[in-house]
Amino acid sequence: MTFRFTGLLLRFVGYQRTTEITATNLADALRQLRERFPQLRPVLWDESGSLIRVHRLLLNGELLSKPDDDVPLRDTDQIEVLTAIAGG
Amino acid sequence: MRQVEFTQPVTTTQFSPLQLRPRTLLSLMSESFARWTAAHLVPFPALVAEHGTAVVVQSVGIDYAAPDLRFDESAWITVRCTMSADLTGDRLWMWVDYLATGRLAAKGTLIVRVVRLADKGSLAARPGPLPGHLLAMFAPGEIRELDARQPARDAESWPSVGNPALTSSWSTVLCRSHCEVADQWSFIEMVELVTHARERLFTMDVSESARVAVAAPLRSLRAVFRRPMFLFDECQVDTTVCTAVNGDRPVVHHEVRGAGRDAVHLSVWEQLDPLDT
Repeated sequence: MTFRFTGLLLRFVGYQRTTEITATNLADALRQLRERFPQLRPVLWDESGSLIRVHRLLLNGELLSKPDDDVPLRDTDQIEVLTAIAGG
Repeated sequence: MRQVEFTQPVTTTQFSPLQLRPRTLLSLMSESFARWTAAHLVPFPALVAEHGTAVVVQSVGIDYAAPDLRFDESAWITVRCTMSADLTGDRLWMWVDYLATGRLAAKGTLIVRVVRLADKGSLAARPGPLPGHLLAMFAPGEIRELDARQPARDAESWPSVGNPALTSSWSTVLCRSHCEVADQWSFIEMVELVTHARERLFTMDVSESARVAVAAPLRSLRAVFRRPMFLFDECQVDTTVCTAVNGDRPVVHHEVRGAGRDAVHLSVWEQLDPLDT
């Protein structure tokens, strides 16, 4: 599956718009994402390991309102990580 | 209400041949906000770093005084501002007067939404009120009921709105020059972007409406920032020139959307003076 990044998150993934990951569910995909981009950890996850709710995950364009760990993923799936708002 | 005042030298880049550029006024508005918070709350960097709080612009308004101030009329421009918070501390409202040669050159208003930072690295945030100890630093007369919808209502009441004569669409990509420190759009640069869209009309169309769009000075501007856009987002600027109705002023209306999306992220209305000839 593919993660896609935009906006303010780009600088935390070395300005890679997309990154490919082999995973069968969301929990595994997110774990691999954390390992690949350690700078993303304090941005996307809180200290308890939960996704911070200012960021949203879109699976193939559909908002994952409750991004459960066991959401199944296929090779062709795309997850876009969006940020609603930033202070500035 | 407590005031902050500062004076700056005038430079050529602050002006068009017609008047002070909107960008100049908005830039001074941003500086006014930083100066007021530094004087009466905390400096902006401390607001972010120590209080986990920031703001996003919800709307801005500019009203130019006639006759328009020209570059060679004054060596200095003085800016005076006051600020209020709404009752819950969710929004701050600033009023700005721009003065030169002993008279008012323009007035500005700025409404910002207070946000609380989720992390200080990315500055990602969610709406949330000013912390209580900061709201308590406002003087009693500076906390009051505020109507955040007022700027949009102002513009929607302009008679020429809804009488379209010329439309145009322009797509572009937001770059760092359009953004602020969090790689989110800057309100100053986004208003600059739509003035760019208006002036492009002159190169694309030979009608009277296109001539109006560049020849007449701005009289008023209202911008409503509905949802932010970020670095490298593709955006589409849809511009409509609305011709004057019943002797009122023409209006240029812009809507900024994500490319191929329906949702409007930014609405701007520019009210222009009518052309004499």
